[in-house]
Amino acid sequence: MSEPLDAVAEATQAQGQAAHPHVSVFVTANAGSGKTKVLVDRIARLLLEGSKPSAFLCITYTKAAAAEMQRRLFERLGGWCVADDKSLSAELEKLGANAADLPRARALFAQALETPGGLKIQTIHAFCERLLARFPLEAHVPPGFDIADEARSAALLGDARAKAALSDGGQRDAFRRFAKRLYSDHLEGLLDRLAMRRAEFHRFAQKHQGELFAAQKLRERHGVTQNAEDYTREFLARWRCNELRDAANALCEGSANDCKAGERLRVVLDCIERNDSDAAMLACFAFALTDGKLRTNFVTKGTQATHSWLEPRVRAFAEAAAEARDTLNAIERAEDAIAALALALKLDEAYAEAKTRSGVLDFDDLIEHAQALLQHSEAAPWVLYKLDGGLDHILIDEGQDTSPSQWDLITPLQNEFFAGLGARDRERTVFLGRRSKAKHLRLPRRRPRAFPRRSAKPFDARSHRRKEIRRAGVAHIIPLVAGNSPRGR
Amino acid sequence: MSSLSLGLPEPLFGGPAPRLRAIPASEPFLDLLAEAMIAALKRDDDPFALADALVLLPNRRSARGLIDAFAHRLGGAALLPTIRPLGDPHSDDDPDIWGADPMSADILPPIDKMQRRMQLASLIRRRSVAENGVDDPARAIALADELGKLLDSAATVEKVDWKKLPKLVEEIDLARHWMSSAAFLDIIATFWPAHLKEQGVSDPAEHGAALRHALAARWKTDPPKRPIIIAGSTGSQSTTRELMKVVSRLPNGVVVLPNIDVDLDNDSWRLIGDQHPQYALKHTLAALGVERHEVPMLKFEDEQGRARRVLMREALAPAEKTADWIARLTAIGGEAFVKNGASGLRLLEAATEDEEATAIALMVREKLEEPGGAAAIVTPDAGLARRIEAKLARWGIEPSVSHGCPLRETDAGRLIALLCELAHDPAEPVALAALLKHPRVGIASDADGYTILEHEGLRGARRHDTLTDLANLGERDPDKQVKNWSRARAIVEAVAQALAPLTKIMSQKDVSLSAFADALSQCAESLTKYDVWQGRDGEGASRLLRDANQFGAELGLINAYSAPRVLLRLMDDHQIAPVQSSGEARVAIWGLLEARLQRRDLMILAGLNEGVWPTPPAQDPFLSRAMRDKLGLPSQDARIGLAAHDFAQLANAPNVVLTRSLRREGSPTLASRWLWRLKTLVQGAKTELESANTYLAYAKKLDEPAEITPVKPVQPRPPADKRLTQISVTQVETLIRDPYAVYARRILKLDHLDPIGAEAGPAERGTAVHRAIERFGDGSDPAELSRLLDEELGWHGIAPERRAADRERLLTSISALIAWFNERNSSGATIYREKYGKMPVDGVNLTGIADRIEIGPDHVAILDFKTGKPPTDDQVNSGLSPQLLLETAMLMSGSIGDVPKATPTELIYWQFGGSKPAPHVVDAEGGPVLAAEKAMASLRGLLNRYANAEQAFYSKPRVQFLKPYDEYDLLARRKEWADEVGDE
Repeated sequence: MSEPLDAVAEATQAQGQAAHPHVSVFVTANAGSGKTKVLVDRIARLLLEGSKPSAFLCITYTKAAAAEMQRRLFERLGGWCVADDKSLSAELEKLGANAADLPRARALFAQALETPGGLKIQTIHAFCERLLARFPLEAHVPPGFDIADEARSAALLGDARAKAALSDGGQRDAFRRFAKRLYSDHLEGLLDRLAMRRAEFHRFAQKHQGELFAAQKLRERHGVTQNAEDYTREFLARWRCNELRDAANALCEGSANDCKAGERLRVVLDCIERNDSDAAMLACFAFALTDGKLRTNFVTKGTQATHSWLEPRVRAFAEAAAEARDTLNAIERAEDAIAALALALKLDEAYAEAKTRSGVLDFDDLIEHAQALLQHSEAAPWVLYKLDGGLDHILIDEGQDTSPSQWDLITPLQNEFFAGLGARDRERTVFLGRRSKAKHLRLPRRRPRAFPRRSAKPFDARSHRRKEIRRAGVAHIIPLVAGNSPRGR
Repeated sequence: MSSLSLGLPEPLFGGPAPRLRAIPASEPFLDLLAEAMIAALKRDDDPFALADALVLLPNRRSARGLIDAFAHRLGGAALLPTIRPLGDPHSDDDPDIWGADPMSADILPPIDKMQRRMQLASLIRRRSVAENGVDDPARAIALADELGKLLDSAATVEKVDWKKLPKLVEEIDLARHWMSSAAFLDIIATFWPAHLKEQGVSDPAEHGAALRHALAARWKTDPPKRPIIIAGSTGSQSTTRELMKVVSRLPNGVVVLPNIDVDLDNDSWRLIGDQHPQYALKHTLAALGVERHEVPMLKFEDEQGRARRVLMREALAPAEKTADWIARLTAIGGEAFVKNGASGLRLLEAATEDEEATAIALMVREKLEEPGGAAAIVTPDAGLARRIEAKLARWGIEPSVSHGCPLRETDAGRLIALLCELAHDPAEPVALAALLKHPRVGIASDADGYTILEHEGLRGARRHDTLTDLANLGERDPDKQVKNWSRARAIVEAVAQALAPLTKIMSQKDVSLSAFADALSQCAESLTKYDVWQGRDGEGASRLLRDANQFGAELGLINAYSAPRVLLRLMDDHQIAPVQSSGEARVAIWGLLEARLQRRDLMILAGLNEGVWPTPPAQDPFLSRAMRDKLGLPSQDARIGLAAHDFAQLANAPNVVLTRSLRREGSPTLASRWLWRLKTLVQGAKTELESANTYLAYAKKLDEPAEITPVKPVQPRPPADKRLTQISVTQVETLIRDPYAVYARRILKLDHLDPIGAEAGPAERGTAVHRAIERFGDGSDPAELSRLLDEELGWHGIAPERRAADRERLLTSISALIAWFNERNSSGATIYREKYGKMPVDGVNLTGIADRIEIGPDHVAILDFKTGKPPTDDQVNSGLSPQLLLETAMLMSGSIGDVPKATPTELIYWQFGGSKPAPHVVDAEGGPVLAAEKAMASLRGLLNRYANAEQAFYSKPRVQFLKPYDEYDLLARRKEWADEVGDE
């Protein structure tokens, strides 16, 4: 009973299950464990069962991956085409397909090569591009639209940054806020990062019905209810100056350390008298904290013995000051977040305008428009209809890297199958992801489907993932183990 | 009883109608045709017998090829038959030969293609605005072009039933989505025909079809007696088929078909689909009412030819039939047969397009070394064709090329594109420089003036907004006037004047495309003194602008901002054909169309990658395949079938090389589907294609040096009399850190050239701040200093939004500085600003500019403003940054301008612009005077060392002192040796 053999057998079985076309699966796999093989096998199975080559969509992460997958598929099918009967039967059996229909298997090669419109194995951007090219009227995107490459996008973003910095609006104050604190490089870096994630900011604002409410939400998140000025004023008003002055005097009668503390306290009081709240707060912090943390001792034993009221009073004040500092920091962070939001939204607006004026789309636009196309008034069925025979199967490589917006794209296409016509048990989705990265996966919600029971590998112990994935109608999580592919050995 | 059964090839004419002939694929088509015609028609007693005939070929190049074939066989003086391409009879100079006067036919004249575009686009715009208020002229033109494609496509078939449009989609749920598309397509279904009729014109595609139709009808009712031959066409268009049908039944007519598979089994023939090479011929034969076994050969193919033809036929078999490949292969002879068929066929798979091109060029060159050897390269990939051309140019070989060049890439086209760019921003540095340097633009004929303009005005950060700003740039700063700026100004003013029509039109809100095109023409003409219209590219550009001018108004008014974009879009599809007669006769590079029926000793089919060959058919943005079918539109994949036919025919040449590259434009490729099939088939026969990879090996060797000698680190040692004569106090640090830079700058006198329109960087900021503070002088108003800073930063090219950021950030610096100035000024010292000093040190002049010197009753201070991080005390004292110390020495010797001799007590770096702006007093070791003496001693030592002819100026010898400035790194070729050599 040697373990390695079991592992290999296990792995082969896992690959086989993953290739079974009647079930939606999520396959986790590390590099070299044969992901591409799984996908190619699955497609081959689908073709064997009669699916048309034009009826499936395989999304890969890179162009190179798409080319590689297509090449491997053609190699496989070409191999079948000219293999002798015995070898071909064996291979079909290994795949779990009907080993009797050899001529059909052989003809798949030429059929796949001649797929009208070509096999749909492509990156998500290529898919969106092709989709939009097929539906210029429905998507309101002109045929032969220009896609802005990185250089062009950067130039347009530069224009947008200029606008955000200079034009009227709430974001100008936000800009000033950051400009005061950051150097040119850092400021540009901040603007770049805001620009890169503008879609997220946009979604956030939309979710909260607009910028104003979103700002409020941000304050809530930081547990903040007032602005810095009001808070400071309130804080300082809480204290009775004469009581504090008594404490300061008492301290100054004490040891050297006590005197230092007393002096610090006196500075606070002076600032309060002068009505310089900012300086007063700084002085409070200087009194209460050392190295950013609350001081441990405020009064030496001796002085404490003389004035028993001193320590509690002073400590209470110091603790309150420390709390105040935390609150003011929170306020600062909240205001920073709000300022960032304002800037990001303005950048988003200005950039969109710049693109419209130049008549270009960037990669994010491709996805956004495609999404809009599919989600608008249940257009998904129409899209599928016009896509020359529709789509029966979707396969996604590197599923963990697919962003939420990209899921939003694919889900309507998937959902269409569930709403689908007829009892034919179509649609299967395969998501492939690297195990390590799968933690942060957020899969789309879908009705689970009945599927034939097969002996499956046990579910992953991490229950939260199990829930999400089951919601996606996925039957199994199949870990692929390295060792089954030649590379793994 | 056909000759086939008698074992003799059939003569050209003779025999019952319908008269068809075939030429085997392996034979050179045009040569054979010429031979057959000579055999059939030439009579010694009638010199005009041959000349009487009319031959219709697929295109112009094949027509010329036939002429060549005749000339080859008949020698010099011979009266040739009339040879015409099967194009439009109405564009012929001599319509009589067609026997049908196009004018007499009841066909309306065609509308100009550009006019069609504009009118369709205008219709679309109006509809768009009415429906959802969105109006984008560029989008309208793009949609109009797609509609145009549909119209052209519809004209190639008998009749498209547009009436079916509304009911095309039956499913209830989906019908509503179809409604908007159907309404849109209604434009060409009902609107457009009515629109044309109103104007008394016809659609250009239909017009051509109608003419051919009329011709066929005429020949039918009134059959011409002369010999008429249609040769080399597969009959993919319905009007061509019609003509073929008529000709095949004429008393002296015959149709000669290219590469028809007469012995393909019936089952396969039945299964032929639109991607199959025989698709068009299948339908043509059906239309002509002829069975394929009834088409006799003009010549029998030889064993080798047959083997190749059958191999290619099997490779491209219908999909269902590929299931039997193994069985069929065994039936025809298995491995031996395949080997035989593949003999003479080679495969070359290069890693990149560049390698592919080099290997091809080598093959061609080898061929040319044979006396009389000739080669042809066929590829749809224009980029690859250009590469190959470039590779051949290396050996002075100029092939005859048929690929056109996009207008945008020609001189004239580029000029128009530049003008479109400048329309938005006439003073944009890069576009402006490109314009002034354009080969046909004569405005910058004053070369020196241009150099001044470029160096002082365009290079480095952009320091101007408009052309007027640029014209004034050199004289803007009263203290820094550029010498001879008036010459640069003259050029800028000339440009402004030439561009006046363009700026005028762009200042309007809505313009007509006609007016815009007119403005462009005017500008182009005044810039180039009318040279712009020279040459084929000039003609092309002229045609484009003329058409846009003539018909642009029909598009309607468009937003001025989008006018340039619209014009550029119109330029998109314009190709400029190369000059026909040029180039070496023995080497040709052809596209697919031009390669039809041609044959050379060596045929190279290049770029066999999916996506290139076959060119994927464009996606129809309105109709799915099924919908097109229902309407009767031709199948889009039929184009693939035509390409397959061309490929099969070309691949039947005795000596063929198939090439491709594994990567194209940086991405991995897939082999062409035909290549997949061929390779798999051959693999199935347990053999493989012969490879031509030796040429790849040659290609690699070609550019490999005999031995690689790595570059050594630079060590220039100029002779003693060419060494340093002058050095500035700031350069002393450079001399320590990077002597090579000083060598390049001071001894080679090579100033680093900034790129045109670069981003303003810290250097520009520093200069701007210095200048602002200098101009501020004795002032005390923070607002004034802020204004000066903003102005100087703007003048030095800092972008407005960064200035906005700066305005905030500099507030602290400004107030701190002014406060400090007030403090210092109250001490009663005399202030000297920006004073230049020069002091000889052992034969080398030490120069420097002291930002600020204060000489007071009880202190003397030298001050330097820094916008970046000032040097640390350690750096100053170690001698690495001796600037202030050296200025001290200069001050002590009275070498600084008109500043009296003085002994400094304070050396200050004032950090301006950071988060903590403040003066920083340098803690000079032993006091300023002692430290200065030490610095001078070090300097002397340094200068003496470098005065020695043996001392080399190394490049950045100590790695830990590498500063970010790398202006001379490229000159020193650091990348080639810097990693290997460690510290000195």
